[in-house]
Amino acid sequence: MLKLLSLLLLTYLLLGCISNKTPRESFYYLLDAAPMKEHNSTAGASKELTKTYIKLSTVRVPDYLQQSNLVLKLDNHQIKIANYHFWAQDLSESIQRVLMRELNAASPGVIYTQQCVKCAELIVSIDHFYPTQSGDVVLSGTYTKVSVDKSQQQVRFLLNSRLEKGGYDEAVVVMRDLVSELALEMGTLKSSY
Amino acid sequence: MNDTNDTSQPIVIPKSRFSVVWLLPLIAVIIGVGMVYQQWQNKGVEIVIVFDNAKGLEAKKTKVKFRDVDIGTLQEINFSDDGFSIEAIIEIDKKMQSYLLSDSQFWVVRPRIGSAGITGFGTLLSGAYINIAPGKSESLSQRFVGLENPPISTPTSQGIKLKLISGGGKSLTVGNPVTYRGFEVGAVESVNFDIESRQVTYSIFIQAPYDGLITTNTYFWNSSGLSFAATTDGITIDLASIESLLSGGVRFDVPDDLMLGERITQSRDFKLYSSRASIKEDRVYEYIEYVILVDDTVGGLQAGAPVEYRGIRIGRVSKPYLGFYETNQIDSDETRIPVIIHLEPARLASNNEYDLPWFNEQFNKWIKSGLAARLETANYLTGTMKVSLDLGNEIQPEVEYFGKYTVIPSAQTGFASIVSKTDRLLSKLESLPLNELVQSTNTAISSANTAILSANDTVIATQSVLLSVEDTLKEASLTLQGMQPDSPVYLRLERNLAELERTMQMMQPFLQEIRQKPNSLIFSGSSPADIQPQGKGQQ
Repeated sequence: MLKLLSLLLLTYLLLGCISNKTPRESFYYLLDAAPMKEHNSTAGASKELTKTYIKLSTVRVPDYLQQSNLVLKLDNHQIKIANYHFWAQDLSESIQRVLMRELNAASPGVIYTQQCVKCAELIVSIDHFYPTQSGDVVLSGTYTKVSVDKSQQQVRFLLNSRLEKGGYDEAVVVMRDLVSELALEMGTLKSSY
Repeated sequence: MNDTNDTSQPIVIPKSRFSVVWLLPLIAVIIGVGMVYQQWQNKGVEIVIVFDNAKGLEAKKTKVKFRDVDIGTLQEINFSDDGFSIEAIIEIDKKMQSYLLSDSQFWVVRPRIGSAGITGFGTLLSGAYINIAPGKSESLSQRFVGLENPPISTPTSQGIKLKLISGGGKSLTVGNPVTYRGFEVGAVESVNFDIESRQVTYSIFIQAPYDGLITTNTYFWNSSGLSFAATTDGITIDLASIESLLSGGVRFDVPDDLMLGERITQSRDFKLYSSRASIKEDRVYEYIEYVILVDDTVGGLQAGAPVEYRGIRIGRVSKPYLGFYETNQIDSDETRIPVIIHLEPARLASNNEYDLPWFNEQFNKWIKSGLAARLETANYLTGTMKVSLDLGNEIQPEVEYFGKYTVIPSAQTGFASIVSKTDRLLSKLESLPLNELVQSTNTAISSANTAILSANDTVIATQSVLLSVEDTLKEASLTLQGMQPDSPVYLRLERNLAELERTMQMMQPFLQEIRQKPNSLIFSGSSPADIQPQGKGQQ
């Protein structure tokens, strides 16, 4: 009798193990999934000597964005970290890369680079960068332009866009567009360096 | 009609002899006379002051002042008859005539830079003026000799004037301060050099009420410069003031070993000592005369040289040698050189707590007990000698006399002493165990050689260790260079750390879940589906 009870209990436990559902699928996103032509610093070097070089520093992102999980802002000031949607690459590096490509593409007379000596500097600091549950995508923060003579000019930006269909798929595309929009805004002020 | 009313006759009115017009010149004459009288009445007293030169003086402009009030004006400047000086003709206000006493002093106030600082600075803008210090004579005068410098004291100043006869030291100038224990109480009024006595005399003025400090036992000394004294408390620096250090000055006090003495009320002469220390050394004491009959040379012995008893100064050499005539008078057979010394017991006592006869008697006892005098070198640089007294001579039954002088026996000095000492030294050397000493020295040298060889090995070993340390440091330096912020290792490490940080962040939800639901490792319930952002186009 005791053996029978033990066998039934073991069977029950094994059934509990095998009765688990199939795990959900994870999704990984690239912010710059549509690469543009890379700016080649060696090509036409003699011509570029006359161009203005601007250093684009590492983009500063808040702590809650320093993770691979995508975040969603709920309506009640709450951040929801996704369990199955991830950034495929570090978000700070991705934003910096997108900005640099967009800026170089939009500004023919200026070369934005990660390293240069005795040149002006552009420091981008992100405060908010997420989709909201209600269907908006927000990008806000500041960008600071440091001239060669170390004088500084800080500009605050707030960019909004809306999702049509919803979902993280569309949200990442819209977020990419907002970064491009930010690059355009920053490129319009190049004359002030 | 009657004849009296006949109008054909002219009426003759007699004309006045005095015309009214003449009143005008009369009034003018009266006014003129009045002005002349007024001018005569207001005219001041004319005096003549003789100056060496007319520096800063201008006729009709330079004023004469008393206590900063104008009392006259310089009218004219002329040369004197001999042409070596100038005569300033000055008109003094009539009311101030009573100040023109024969001993009144006049001097020109102009900017001066002296030991007392800058004076007359205000005259840079206002111009020079003549100052007056009224005297106290009873007779008036109209001719004065002006002073070239402002006087230290005026005839009416309260205080006492003294004359100091310099005994050496830095020379002083007019205006140098006279201080008492650091407090300025007077100044040097004049400096004179007496050609006959070949001495410098300074006239000083001590202002009241500090003139009460001057007594018969007051000693003056030149306070120029610094004096150092080494005491048990350390080094003491004696400095009257910075002003005295730079320009000189006089200090005075009563020595500690003397009573205050009687107060001086009349001007008198004092000796100016070159320093405070020289007062004790050079001042005149009561003394007892002794003679030392020296066998050896007295070269280097000078009058005034110290006589010491075991390092304590108790007197001075009066005569390095008695004259030949006097020596011959006392004893014609005497071949030794008589040196006359003064023993001054006051140097050992204070406030007259000594008695010369008692000291004389005591010295005679010491002489009998073996007190002897010896000539010693006082200064090896200059070769000067001194007399040194000490016990240790042979006991003698009676005190000897040389003429009127008591004889202090002479100990061996000079060459005789050297020979004696050399003999004693040689005999001591002879008694030394030189052979044993040389042998033990050889042994010590050989052990020292062994020790040195051992030390050499140690040094070589230490050198190899140092070389190894140097190599290690070089390697460490290279390693550290590889860890520079731009180095690949550093960048790789930074990336790995960032990766680790990200991993840890990713582990946070997992760890949290483990904490809340430990069995989730076995029974892992899947997380709920993510909340997706809603599209506004669907709404």
